[in-house]
Amino acid sequence: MKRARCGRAWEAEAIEDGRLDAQGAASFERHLATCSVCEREVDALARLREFAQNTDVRPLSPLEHRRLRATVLRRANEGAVVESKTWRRSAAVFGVAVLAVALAVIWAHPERWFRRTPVAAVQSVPKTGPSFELRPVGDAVWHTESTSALTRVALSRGTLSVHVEHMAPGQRFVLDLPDGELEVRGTRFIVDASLGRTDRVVVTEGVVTLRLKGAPERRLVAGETFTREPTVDAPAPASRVLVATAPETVSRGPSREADKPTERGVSRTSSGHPNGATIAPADAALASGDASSVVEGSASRDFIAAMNAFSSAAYLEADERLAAFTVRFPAEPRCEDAIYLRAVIALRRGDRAAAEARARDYLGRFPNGLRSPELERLLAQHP
Amino acid sequence: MKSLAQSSKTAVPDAELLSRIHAGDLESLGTLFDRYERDVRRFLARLGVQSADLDDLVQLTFIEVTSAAHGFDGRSSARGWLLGVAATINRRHRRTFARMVARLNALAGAFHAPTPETPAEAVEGLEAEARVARALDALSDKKREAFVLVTLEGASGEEAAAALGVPLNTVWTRLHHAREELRAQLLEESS
Repeated sequence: MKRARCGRAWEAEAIEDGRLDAQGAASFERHLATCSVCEREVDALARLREFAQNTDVRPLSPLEHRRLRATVLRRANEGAVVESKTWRRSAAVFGVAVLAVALAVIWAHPERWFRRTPVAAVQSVPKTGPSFELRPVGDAVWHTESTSALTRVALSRGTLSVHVEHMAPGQRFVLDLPDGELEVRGTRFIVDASLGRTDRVVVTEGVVTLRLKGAPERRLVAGETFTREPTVDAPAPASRVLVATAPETVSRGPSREADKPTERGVSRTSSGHPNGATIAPADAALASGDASSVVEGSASRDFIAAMNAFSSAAYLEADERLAAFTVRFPAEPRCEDAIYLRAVIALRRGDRAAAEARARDYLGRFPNGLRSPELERLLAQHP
Repeated sequence: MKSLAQSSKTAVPDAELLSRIHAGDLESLGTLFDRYERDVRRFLARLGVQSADLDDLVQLTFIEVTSAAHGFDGRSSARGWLLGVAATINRRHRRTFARMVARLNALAGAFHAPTPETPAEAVEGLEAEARVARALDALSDKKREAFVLVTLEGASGEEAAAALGVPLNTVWTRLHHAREELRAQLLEESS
């Protein structure tokens, strides 16, 4: 049977479901009073609801409820236990799978995972020290020590032009200064020291780390110069012009000369010196014509003249000049060298008694002097 | 219309109960069972679940809660959400049952016939209830769920939509078609 139609019949279902607001519901209620179609629709929906509600279910008795409740909790608990066991089993299977894959990868490429002791690292410490060149300017006094990969040059005073070639890993080159030290990693520089302190460092290539007592560490790169400020109680040294020229082979490191002291004018004084200590009494720069660029004070001129005589084996003249130097400049630090060299000259001239007398003079005036060990050994030797 | 939230019997809030169940507290599951077992049973029965399967589906609904508790949105009452879980369980059950029946029919070469009225129903005189059951059983699952939730369980459209996981207008559409089919079927029976 076909139902009669009304344009507002859908509102019967809407009001049944609570979809109409208060105003809409009131309007539809007024419409119901005049529309039999919508009225029948509302009645039909109400009957349908009442009809469907006939399916009321018999409730469980308290005992049945408790039994069913216990069953639910038991099954839920079993589910939790089973789930836990399943999780553990899954985790175990996953772990075994990961282990198997890892073992397969290791088995396929054992060298990638079990590398031997890095022999290269053990052997990386070189057996020899760095290659270097020392070029004294004027009356530099220095001492070289090489132990394995470490080379230490102790500059007591004077000016050294130093060129250290780029070093291999593990090699070190340290220049001990009267008031600190200087470490390089392959560079070219000039250092000037006097009166127990460092006066100037001029870096022409590479990088230098300068560590002076009482001062923070400083890093000097190529083109930079460190100059110590003059102090009141310590007179400033005679002015010097430092020339950064390409180094001549005046003193070489072990890699070039295999620890042989080949310095000009040094080999004559290095014999018998412990640890290969050297003195550079001759100014190679002056002798080679570079002296025109070096302005020395009167003390230095006298001393250089004496050293020139010494270098040319004019021992008598050298002895006289050195003696005059010690008289004229008794407070000059190079007096120590002058007295020492006079002992050496006496020894080379065969005058052992004079040599011993000058050695005792040296030790009396400079008991902790740089040449004390040598002169003490000289006195201990029997003729 | 009675709201689902109004029937909540609160001692411990439903949200707290479900939070504890999610953490593995089975005693809270027992409390939830005490609170809503009757509602779930009636809802499943109105969805057409046979009495022989009713206890089992009630159990399955509450067991499902242990794994679905994290999905509760924290509304004041868990009743609508719980009926949604029951509807899902029933749908799953009916699919399984339908597959089993289809296999049996295929094996026997038989044709599906309408479920005859049982002797018990005849003896107990539950004709009206049987008619309703048959009428509801003729509806699709989706239409039956919408009709039972809104018309019989008193859920609002929003609560039914949340319980069934569908848009609100979908609920109204399903409800409208369910009423149309039920009225047509009842009219046919009466004629």
